[in-house]
Amino acid sequence: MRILSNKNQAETGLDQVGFEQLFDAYYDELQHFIFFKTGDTEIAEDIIQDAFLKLWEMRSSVRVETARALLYTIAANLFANRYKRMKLKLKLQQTIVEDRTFETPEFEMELKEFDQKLQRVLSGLNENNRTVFLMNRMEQMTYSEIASALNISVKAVEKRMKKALEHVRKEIEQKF
Amino acid sequence: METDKNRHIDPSALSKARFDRLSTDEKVDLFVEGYRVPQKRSKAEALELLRTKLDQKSTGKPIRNLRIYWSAAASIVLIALLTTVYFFQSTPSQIVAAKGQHLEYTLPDGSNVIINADSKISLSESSFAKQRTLNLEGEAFFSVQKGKPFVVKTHTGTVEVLGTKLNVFSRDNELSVSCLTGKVKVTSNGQSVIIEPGEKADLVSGALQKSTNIQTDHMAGWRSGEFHFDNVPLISIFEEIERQFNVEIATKGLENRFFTGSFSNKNLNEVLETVCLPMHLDYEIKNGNKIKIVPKAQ
Repeated sequence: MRILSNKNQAETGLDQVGFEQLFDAYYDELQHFIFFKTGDTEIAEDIIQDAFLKLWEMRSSVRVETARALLYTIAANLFANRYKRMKLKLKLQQTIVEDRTFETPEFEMELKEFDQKLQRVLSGLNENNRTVFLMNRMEQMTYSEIASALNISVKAVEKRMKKALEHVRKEIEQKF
Repeated sequence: METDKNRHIDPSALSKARFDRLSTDEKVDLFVEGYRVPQKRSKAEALELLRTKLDQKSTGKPIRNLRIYWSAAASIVLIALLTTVYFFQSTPSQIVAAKGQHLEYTLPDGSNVIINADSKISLSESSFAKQRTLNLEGEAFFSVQKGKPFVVKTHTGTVEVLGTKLNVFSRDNELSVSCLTGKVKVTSNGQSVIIEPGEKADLVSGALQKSTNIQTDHMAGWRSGEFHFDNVPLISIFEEIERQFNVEIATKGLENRFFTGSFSNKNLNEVLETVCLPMHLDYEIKNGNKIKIVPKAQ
């Protein structure tokens, strides 16, 4: 069983420096990715620790070009195995409000209520749809970036985005 | 990405009139783009923590928890020992290695056999002294003492050896015999081949085929918990995992797919990942011992 030929051996494998570069490049987005699934910062941070540990264990066979997708796969698997179907409540930090003067106190209330409602609606989204939606809107990842990170087709990303948008629109417009 | 965030308009900076003019989608985007994922530890702290864990790892302090596997393994070894002792005192007729268990056994002639998970050998002690013949179902590794012919009968064929080390695998319609030292004669369906060290005989659609230049440490790596596969049907791989970890694996549509690679039988999750990742599969573990293999989610 010889997987590596001498030619691409040079491109395979990670050293400590390469490993930490990957950490630097992808830590935040991976932590966000799991957060989008769980809504729990601590779980997300723990899973990403383990994901990088796992990556280090398999460093000899890791190629830098595929490391990002690999990290997503590892993280998603770790999450799926430990925390399947967890009831979640997203607690995202809004950039608004504190120390602001609003036109009227009523308008301030309206914005805060919209914020709370939106977070509730997002929490109620199907996990996969929410994850893709937030990767696109919060992480500013393009559809093709998301597709390659999650190992799914761009078509599938579009479908999830569409479902997420429809759901959010419907829920927000209800009794508002 | 940073600049994108900076361009974002804070909803609270809007006038009510302008906010009211926005569509639902625009309002949603306005808020969502401003959201931040909360952090407990900073990236620098996370890196520090990771480095500590990696240090612990390289100095050999155990940080992986293999809990269930190790305790299961320990109790299995204990049971195996007791079983072995028990059989030694009585007349052995069957030596059985259960799923998730490897068993080492010394035969009456001093030959040694290591039995792989979910396998069994049977023999009659009284007649074994005269004629070294035993039956095997499953897989076992033999270190045979020199002397009279030593015969391993399986339902797919017969293996005849003089002093030698060999591995015999016989499950369902498969038969695979590899030779590490000495000479081995394999007979099946009326055909015979003789194999020598580094060679292997396989039953392929009813015919015996000989292959040469096999790495001897791959031939019976399972004894040390290392499993090597060279272009083996994926379904057989999952069957091996079932036997090694005593789990049930449900697969669908994996016919005609083959796997080349290695894994060790220390950690079920790692093994599943090693096999599933390159094959573009996902797995779900239910109730600890039921596993479902599915194509990667679309």
